[in-house]
Amino acid sequence: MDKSSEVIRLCAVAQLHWVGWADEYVVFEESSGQTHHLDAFRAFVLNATLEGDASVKKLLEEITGVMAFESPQAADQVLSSVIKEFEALGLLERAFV
Amino acid sequence: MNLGSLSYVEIRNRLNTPGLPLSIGPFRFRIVSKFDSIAEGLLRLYSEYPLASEGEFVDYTVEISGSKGFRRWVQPQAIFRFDGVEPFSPLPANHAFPLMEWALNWCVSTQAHQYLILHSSVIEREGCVAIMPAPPGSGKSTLCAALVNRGWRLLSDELALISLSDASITPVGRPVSLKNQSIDLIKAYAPEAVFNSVTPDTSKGRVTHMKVPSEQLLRIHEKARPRWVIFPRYVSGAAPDLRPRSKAGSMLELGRNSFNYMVLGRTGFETLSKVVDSSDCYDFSYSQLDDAVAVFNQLVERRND
Repeated sequence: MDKSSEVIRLCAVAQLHWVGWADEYVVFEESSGQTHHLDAFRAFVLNATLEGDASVKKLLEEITGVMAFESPQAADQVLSSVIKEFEALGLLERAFV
Repeated sequence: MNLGSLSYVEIRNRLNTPGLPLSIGPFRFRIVSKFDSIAEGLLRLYSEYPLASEGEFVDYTVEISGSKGFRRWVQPQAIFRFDGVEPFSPLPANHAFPLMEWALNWCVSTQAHQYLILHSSVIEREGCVAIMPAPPGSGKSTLCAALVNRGWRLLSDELALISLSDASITPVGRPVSLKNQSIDLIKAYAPEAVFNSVTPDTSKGRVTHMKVPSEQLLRIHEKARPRWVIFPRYVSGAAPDLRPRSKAGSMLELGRNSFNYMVLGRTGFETLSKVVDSSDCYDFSYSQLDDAVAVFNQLVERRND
C-alpha cells in the first residue's frame, strides 16, 4: 500500500470526552466505559482524528517539524506504535484512501 | 431523639424486634440483631446519632443474625443478611460488631449510586476537604484518626460520597476503623477518644472503631468541597514528604479506587474530573503522626498562596 494514502480514523462507535491539565489528558470513551491517560504526543494523535480521517503522512510531517528524532524511520516507528496502541484499545482504525 | 436516649435494654429489645432505625449521615439503616455486642457497640459509638421514626423510609435493612441448629452450639457464627441474601461468608459470633460495620459499608458502596463513591478517608478543615484514597495497610485510617483528633472534621473514614451535580462531599460520619498496632497508637495519641472493645482474630487482625467526636457529629449534614487529593503511605522511620503528583494520573488512580465509577459512566468521569480540577494532588509519606498533622495544617494555612 502507498504510505501516502494511509489514514487513521476514530472507530465508529467511539465517543470521546476529554479533560486536560498541563501536558496530560484523560479521555473517557463512552461506548466501552474505558478511561485513558494520554501524554501530549498521544493526545495530539487522537485529537487529529476528531474531525475525520487524518493522514498519517501529514501527522508525521507535523510531528517531525516540532520534535527531534534520530531519523525519519524513528519518527515513523514511534507514530506507528502509538497508532497500534490506539487500535488495540479500540479507539482508532487504519484505512487507505 | 438520639439513640443514647434509649437504655441498653431498650436498644437490645428494639434491635431484636422490629429492628433499630438509625440515621447515619444521609442514610437511614434498620439494624436487626440479637447480638449483645452490637447493642453495646451501638450504645458506645452511635449514642448521638438520631433514631429514625417508625414508619419513616429506610434505605437499608441490615440483619446480623446468629447461626441455627448445631452451629448455634458449636463455633457459633454471625451472618449478614440483606434483602434475603448473604453477601459475606459467616464470621465467628464474636465478630458481630465489625461485621455490622462492614455490612453498612457494603450497603452504601454497592447501592448508593446517587453518589460517585471512592474508597477513601475524607477530612475537612476550614471548608476544604482532603480526600485520602489508599490501599489497606497504607496508614490511611490511622492518619485520619489522628487528624480527626487534632482539629480536622471527619466526613468519612472509608467512603467519599461525591455529589454528581457539584462534586461536593456529603459526610457519612461513621466511626473510624482501626486495626492492630494502630489501635494502641491512636489510644495513646488521643486518650480522650472513645473506642469500642477490641475484636481479636478477624481477617484483618485485631480491630476496633473510634467514635466520631461529638462536636463533629453536630455538623454531619454540612457538605464541603474537595481541595486536596492526597495518597498517604506510612513508611517506617521516614521524614514527612509531600510531593505534587500529576492530576491526570491522580484521576486514573481515583477511578481505580472508586466503587462505582464504571457504573456511572460519563457522569462518573465528569464528576471525578471536577474533583481533580479543584484539588491539588500529592503523594505523602510519613512515619510520625505529629509530623503528618503539621504538614496537613500547613496545607490549610497556605491554601490561598
